[in-house]
Amino acid sequence: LANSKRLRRYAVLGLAAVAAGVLAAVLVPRGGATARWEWTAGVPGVAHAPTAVERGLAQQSSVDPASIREVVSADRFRLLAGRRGSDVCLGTSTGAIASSYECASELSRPLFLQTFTEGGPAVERYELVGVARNDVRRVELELSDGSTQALPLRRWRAFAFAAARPAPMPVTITAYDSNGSVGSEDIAASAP
Amino acid sequence: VIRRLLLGLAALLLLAAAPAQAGSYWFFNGYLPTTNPCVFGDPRYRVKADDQPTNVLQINRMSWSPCSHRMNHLFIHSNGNWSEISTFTSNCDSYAGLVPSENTITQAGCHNPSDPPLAQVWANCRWGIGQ
Repeated sequence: LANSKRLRRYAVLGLAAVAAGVLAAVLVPRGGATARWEWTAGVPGVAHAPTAVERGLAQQSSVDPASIREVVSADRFRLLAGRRGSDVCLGTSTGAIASSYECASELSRPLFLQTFTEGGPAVERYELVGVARNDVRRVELELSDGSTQALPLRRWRAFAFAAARPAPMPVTITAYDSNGSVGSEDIAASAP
Repeated sequence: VIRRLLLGLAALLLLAAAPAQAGSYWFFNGYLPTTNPCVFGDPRYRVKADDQPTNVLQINRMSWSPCSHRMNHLFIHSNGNWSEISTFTSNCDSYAGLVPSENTITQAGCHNPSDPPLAQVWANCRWGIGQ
């Protein structure tokens, strides 16, 4: 009887360990338990004087305009970061045209990125700015000529790209952690 | 009881008679195709601030479904050229804005990019102050 009880106890412990392992595998993103949207500096970026449009869009997103910083820029297109309470929020702007913000607590993908394109009958200019989650080690673009191009992760894990016709334009962007791909997005531009 | 019923009916009629949009702006609400007629070529898919001041911030708002792909804020210049901000927010609800008098942009819209090739996407696209 004592042996039977001991065996049952071991079986329960074994099952609990397996369940914990399964839960950890499901709940913890690939690349480890540290996949998070956060920066040691709080709001990432350098000091930035927001334009009236940027202030307006920040207010639209309940982001404090005084907290806005510039994280990275392509050519005219820049990635901005600001604060909504304790949350860090990300948006983009050309100075004249600005987007609303998406906050770190809402982000579910490994990359935050937006593109700015211009043209007439065809796409003439393509700019891309973004930032990677902290588990991302590498970001790569696939271009319209079939080639691939690594996007260096700069300070604050930010990245940027700009191209003008007839240079090849981005088609896909892929994020990699230390184990492989953690996400890919189709980002090809087309004339509307 | 009859009085209450009549009052309720009157309230319902008032609600039904209210305009679909408050203020003077146009909006598009429906399915955006990726195939012809494209957004830019078909004025049905453009939205334009109507009787709104051009020297203040005007905002283009789009929400879309399915929430599985990017959508583009489309801004149309008076010479026919265009500018777009492409975004993929977690809740598929996005704003972009500008001051029209500081630009050559007079109209806006929402563009369903043809890649990834979704045949159509439901979009709620508005252009006007605070949209």
